[in-house]
Amino acid sequence: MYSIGNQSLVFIALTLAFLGLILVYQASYQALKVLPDLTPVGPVFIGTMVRVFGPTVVALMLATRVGAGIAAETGSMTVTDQIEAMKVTNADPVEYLVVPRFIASIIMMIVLWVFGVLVAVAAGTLIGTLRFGIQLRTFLSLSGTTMSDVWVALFKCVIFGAAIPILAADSGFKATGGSEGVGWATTKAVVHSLFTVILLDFLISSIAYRFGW
Amino acid sequence: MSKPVETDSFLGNFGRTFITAFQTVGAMTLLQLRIFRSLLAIKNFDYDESVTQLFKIGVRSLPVVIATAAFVGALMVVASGNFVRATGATTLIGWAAGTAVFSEVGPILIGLMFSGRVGANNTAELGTMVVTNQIDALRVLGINPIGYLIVPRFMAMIVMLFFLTAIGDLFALTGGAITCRAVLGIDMRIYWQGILDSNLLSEFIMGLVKAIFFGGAIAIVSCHWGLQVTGGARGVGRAVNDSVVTSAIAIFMVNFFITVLWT
Amino acid sequence: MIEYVNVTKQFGPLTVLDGINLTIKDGEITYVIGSSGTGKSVLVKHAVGLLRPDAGRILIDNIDTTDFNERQWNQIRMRYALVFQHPTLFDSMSLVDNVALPIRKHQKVSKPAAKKSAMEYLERVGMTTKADLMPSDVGPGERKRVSIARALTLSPDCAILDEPTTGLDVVASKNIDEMISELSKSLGKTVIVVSHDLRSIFGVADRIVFLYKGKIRLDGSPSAFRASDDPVVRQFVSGEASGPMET
Repeated sequence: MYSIGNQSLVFIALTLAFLGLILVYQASYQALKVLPDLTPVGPVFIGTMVRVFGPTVVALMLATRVGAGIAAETGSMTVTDQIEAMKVTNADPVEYLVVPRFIASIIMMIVLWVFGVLVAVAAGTLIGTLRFGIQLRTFLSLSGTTMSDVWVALFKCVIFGAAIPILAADSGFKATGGSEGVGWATTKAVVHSLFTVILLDFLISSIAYRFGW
Repeated sequence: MSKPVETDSFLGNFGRTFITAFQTVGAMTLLQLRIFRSLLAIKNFDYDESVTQLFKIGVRSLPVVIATAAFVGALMVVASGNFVRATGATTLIGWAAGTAVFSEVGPILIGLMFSGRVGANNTAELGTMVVTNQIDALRVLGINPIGYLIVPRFMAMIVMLFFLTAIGDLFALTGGAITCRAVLGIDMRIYWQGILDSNLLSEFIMGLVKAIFFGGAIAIVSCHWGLQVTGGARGVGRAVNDSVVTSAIAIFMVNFFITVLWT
Repeated sequence: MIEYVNVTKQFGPLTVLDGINLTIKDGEITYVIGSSGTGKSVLVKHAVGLLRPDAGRILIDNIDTTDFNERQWNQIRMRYALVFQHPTLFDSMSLVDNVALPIRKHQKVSKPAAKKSAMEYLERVGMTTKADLMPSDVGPGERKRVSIARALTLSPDCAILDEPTTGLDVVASKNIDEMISELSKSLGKTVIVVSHDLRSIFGVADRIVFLYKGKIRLDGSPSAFRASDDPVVRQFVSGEASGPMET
């Protein structure tokens, strides 16, 4: 768990900071064109960050960072027959390798979501106040965020956090044929988990919308 | 040579991360220069290998890019749906989804997907060639690996990501249109009209410019990690991992700077 | 002609080559022998610039290569063709495409012409019937023959073969031995062979260089080698487990 979180921290901070910067930049720029009023930028940005971009982008990054890592590790264990060796000694590779990563991934997903949103909001606030001169108090407002945003986001985090290690470990276990096989497995893990995150995100968002959450 | 002091402190870790980051960026800049030098030697341009790469990259990534793009467009429509419901301004849906898809979310997500599919694969392929001495085999045959292997990949990735982003944008809008009707219950015509009325040409072109730079960045990052693989199967796996992570960081950073410079 | 002048190479704390002085003459078949891990492969990789010496110089045809860049080395590599111990065919290409690649790159000919020419090289090593197979579809001995054919497309003055018969059965290694003889006797090429396969050495080699612990222990004709009373050389020839030799 420590390794899943720690490795990803700098990575998530970097990508989410740039995401926060760009979202506020674009929102302010577009708002200036349509309505010359920048007061809704902050609340709308924070609300969207919590509900939409936070879980999605953090999950995409986690899929890239951790999914690839899990696939690379289980993949190289598979091609070097270590998985077979485990089965021989009666240690269930799924229980031993996947279950701990599964639980760690769900917890880390939630933690990193909070962390990612905070970093993005901090970066967004920076550009919003300094570049576009929005009042700090106007910008940092939770009026655009509801409790249902938080619940939907939390639900997404749990689902994404669960999906990534399963897909990654599955690709890893199916690796065959030396270093090339491990490369393939890692590639597959990244593509599958990125796509699955986007697909699940769409499904959850649509259902949430229909029920008016 | 004195052995560097190993510390496990937070600050030690932090410092090491920075040193490694700078070394990586330095090595990638060098690789970039070598690619440009090879590009200048146009007479050595390998036409066959370039066509093979274009074809391979295109075929490998087209389905996944289309599927991703469609769902990304759909996602953007659902996300804007909440605000549309709050304000009742249904005409804004086309503008919101179109702007998001063309200028930011489309290029970024297609880029991430491309890096996962093509960049990762490229790292794995080059890495395997390194571990099995195939790169050295090229050198002893008097063939420059940069000119023969890297330059065609670099060019092919830029060209392909450009076209994939253009195609992906269309599928994203279509995905958005269907979602507009199916999930939001808003007539598709309102959505399409909204897109046409908001004159998004500048956003569309900016997205394509981003694709060119993303393609170049993914190519350099994935080739860099592939060429410096050490240590067998485990090394290849780790290199692929580093490759996709670095590509993602590069995409978000490059994206920010292009938007700021463009607007 | 390749001259090693006081060449030293270290990998970390390990000194692999320790002040090697050696001149390889044109037109001869030179065998570099010694037990595994004594730096034979490292020695020949220096001759084509894949490795650079930590100290000492390497002269090729009386030209000092110390400050050579990759492009200058590429010129040398066209004349001194190295074949690796593990056949390094490009696994995404068929056998004939592997052989055709250097022809296409260096002779600036069209792809069909390069393929045609490649078939001639494959014929020399008796691999024409399997030309369209992928490297993973053929055995290690066949892969080795194809990589030798690929190196010969450069029309080198000198062929450097790293362990060409290791891991092959008796018939396959006999074939390779005959090829080596033919390269030297009828084509007049210089051949350097890295080997620990004693069966091949006598009868084929003009000269034997015996490496032991990073130094040249013996340098002479096969008969001088056989007649040596150096206990280390004696033990290597007889292949006994006990003796003065440290492995």
